Amino acid sequence: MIRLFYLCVLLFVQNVYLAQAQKTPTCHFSIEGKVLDLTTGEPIQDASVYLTERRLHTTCDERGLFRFEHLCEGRYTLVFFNIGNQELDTLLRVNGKKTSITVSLQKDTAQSFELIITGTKKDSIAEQSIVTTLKGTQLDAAKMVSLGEGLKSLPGVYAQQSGVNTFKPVIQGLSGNRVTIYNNGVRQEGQQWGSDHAPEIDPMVADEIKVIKGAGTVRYGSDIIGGVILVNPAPLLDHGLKSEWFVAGNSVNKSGTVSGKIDWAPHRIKGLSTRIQGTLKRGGNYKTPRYYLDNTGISEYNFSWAARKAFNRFYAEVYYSQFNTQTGIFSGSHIGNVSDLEKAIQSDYPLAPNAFSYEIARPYQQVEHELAKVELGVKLNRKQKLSWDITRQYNYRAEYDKHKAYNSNGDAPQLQFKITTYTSTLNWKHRFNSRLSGDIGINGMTQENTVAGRVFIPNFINQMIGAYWSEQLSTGKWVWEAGLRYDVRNLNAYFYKNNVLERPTYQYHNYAASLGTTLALSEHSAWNFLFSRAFRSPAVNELFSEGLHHGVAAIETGNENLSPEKAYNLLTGYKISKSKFSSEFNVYVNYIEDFIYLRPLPDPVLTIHGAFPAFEFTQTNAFLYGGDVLLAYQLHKHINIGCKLSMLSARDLVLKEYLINMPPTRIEPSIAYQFKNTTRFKDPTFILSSTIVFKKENVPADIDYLPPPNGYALLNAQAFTKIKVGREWWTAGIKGTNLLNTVYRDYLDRFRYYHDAQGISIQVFLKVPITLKP
Amino acid sequence: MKKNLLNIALFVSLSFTLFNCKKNKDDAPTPQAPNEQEQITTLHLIVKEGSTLVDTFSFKDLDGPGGNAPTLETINLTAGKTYSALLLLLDQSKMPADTISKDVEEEKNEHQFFYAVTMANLSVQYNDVDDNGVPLGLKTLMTTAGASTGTLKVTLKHQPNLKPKTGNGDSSLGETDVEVIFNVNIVN
Repeated sequence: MIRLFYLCVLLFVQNVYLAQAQKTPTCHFSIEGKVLDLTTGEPIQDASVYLTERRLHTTCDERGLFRFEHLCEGRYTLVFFNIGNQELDTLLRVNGKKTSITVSLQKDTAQSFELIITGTKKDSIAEQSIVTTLKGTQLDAAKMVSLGEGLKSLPGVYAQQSGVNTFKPVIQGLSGNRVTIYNNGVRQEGQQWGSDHAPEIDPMVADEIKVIKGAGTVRYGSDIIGGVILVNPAPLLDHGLKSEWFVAGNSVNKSGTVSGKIDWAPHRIKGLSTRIQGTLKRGGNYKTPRYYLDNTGISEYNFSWAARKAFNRFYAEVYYSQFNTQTGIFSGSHIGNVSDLEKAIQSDYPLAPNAFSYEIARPYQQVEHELAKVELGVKLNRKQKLSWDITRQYNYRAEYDKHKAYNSNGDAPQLQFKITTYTSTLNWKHRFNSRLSGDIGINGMTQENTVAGRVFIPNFINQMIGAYWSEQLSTGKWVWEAGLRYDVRNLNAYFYKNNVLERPTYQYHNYAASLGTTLALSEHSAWNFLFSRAFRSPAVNELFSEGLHHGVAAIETGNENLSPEKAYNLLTGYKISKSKFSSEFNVYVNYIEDFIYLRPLPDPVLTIHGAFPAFEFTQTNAFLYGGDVLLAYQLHKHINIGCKLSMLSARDLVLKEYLINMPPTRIEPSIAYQFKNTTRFKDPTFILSSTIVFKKENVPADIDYLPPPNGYALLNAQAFTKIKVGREWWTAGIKGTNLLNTVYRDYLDRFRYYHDAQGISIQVFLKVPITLKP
Repeated sequence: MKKNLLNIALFVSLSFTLFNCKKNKDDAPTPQAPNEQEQITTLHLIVKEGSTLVDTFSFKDLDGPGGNAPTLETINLTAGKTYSALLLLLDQSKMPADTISKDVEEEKNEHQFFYAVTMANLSVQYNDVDDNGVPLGLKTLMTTAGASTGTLKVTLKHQPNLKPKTGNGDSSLGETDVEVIFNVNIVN
């Protein structure tokens, strides 16, 4: 009897060229692998591996290694048998030499899977697109802060800030409505138009965070101009009972985070996997090098649960998560009018109390985000999978001004938004043959937004339906990918203007397309090229916002005649990966026709609070170009040096000047010392790094209250290790940022008008997996 | 096959019972009427000589910040006189209008009006105080000298826990709730 078994398999797929090149047409590819017990990390000796197509059989040696040689290009099925008959673990993990594929298999199919070997390295579609990934220890370190702040560690990703608690990702200069975030496969829908509205996602759910550009993105929307950020949780367990605990602390705001996750796949119910997860976070006032920031505390609690049941070829999955936060806003940033703003700018020290407290008083934001998802799928055969999901999101946001309204009863918020979004996607994942594979699907969305309190954006109902198709083709050294999407969008807004109810309706039709290719230049290097076109219909704030935007002290006016943005993106990159040296160079040009932005109006607007500068949403043609470079070199057996560089220039082609609020040039050199592994410690690493940000030079003249701040250089250090405690590997880390307590302000932090950026911060974390039942 | 579908249906419906979805009871096509929102639309400066009403000078912005432009009247006064003046803040977007200056009066220990004159021969003195004896500024005495023109800036500062307990107040503290600049015209 072939008993089911559960292994962690590491496979190395290599293009090994045999030195003694033979004249016979023997092929020169091989499959190499390692079979490990996921729980213990120990190799499994004598696990048996069968290569179906060649009827070859081998067993693993004492290091768990196996190898099949002299293989030609083609598709292969590997079958694993465990001689020891012991139940181990559930994940099959496949690692290419240069890129990794993670394959999580169902219990029922866990004994075999297919592998394709061609002349180039193989990946999934997403990985052929331009991808940067944050995972492992680097992700653990990033989880100690908010999602947006943690993403800054990826090359080409910056953050737009509103103070110390609100970070929004900026990808190659584009942010806000131009960056899409997917949380566990669901497009995050909240009030993402607001520059002070951070993504409502608990970073603790993530097992990996990816930033994708390319043809693979068409399934995520037609408006992926900057890129799409995928926050993916770990696959559910197929067997056993496991938990994982994460505790972290941060000195800069005396914050603590506790998060736990329990995965259970009960033995008695075949095919059922479940998970519950939760996070608690509490932080107080942040400290800058010179003073505390009054009222910058945060209080957060989040939880989620998931269940999946497999029925032979079918599966059903449900997911539910809730995010709740109360975020204090620096009290000195809440200003009444431009005179107050100018006074705040002129004073070196903020005009607010300087003391530590955990108390969150007015002004603050209260946000809840709820996500529910049901997904059904069927494996039609080994080549095709059909999946269908329905999701619901509810987002409630309340904004409390510094003081209560004069004529209000009680402690009501001045502004409330409630938005409910339903989406549904039907996706057909297919592989025609070993060369051609792709996704075809349709995707719909309907959302309803209501507003109460001060008028800023109107009520609206937004609907979208779209169809997409992406394919990937491998031909020898080339991998081609193409994607196409067509969307129809409807927007109905409802608001009072001069006491008359207006209900304008808009409809937008448009398409997104992309074509990319990767050429394997050699075993070690590849070149890629991507052209894409995306469009984005104007968001509701761009069309209709009307009124005073507190915090920025400006009157913002929407423009009902805006047309959609059309973005044309050209990206090319070169990657080289040798044993001692690896690097990545990416350059891009982005032409955005009808780029929507806020243009200052010549005359200030008079209100009872004084005169305010006025801005109107308008369109221009924008041209952004820049590059991201990643270099890594192994200086010594234990010492690696590296450097990340991102730079960008952005022009307004109509007014012939620079665009405002674009990220400055950033360089991050680092040096890492990798200690020897022992039976007790795995991958102990010490990294010393610096974040160098230059002064933003190319900015439009005379429309900002303050010129861009000076550049700055921060010194950071981090140390991580895995520690074996009992049978488990714990992960411990300590990270220090701004170690020299440098006083600085960042150009993309809107609160740079009011206060310095955070000072020295020491963060520690410990991740403890506890296997309750293997 | 049928059994599988049945199982899926059972599994999904069982899981659904664990959802605790929050609902939005508001309806997008029927937005909240604009007059539900708090705002200060109107500032009246009521000027009396003795008990006789001289005139009322107003700043009005009935649709709030943005939208239609506000209206602003010029303060016309006679030279060489002493007037008593009273400020009235209203929210006229409501029916009936809400008197915001009543709320200011109630919270007088954390509010203060400031008056700044440029060019014109006008002096403004406080004629009311809060519980600590620090001026509030809803009531003032205005004294005119020779014929002149200039401006009068009326500022309302909200100073929770900041307003001084002694002296004449400090205009540099707190947040600006109202700032209106009138043109002043003093004739003989």
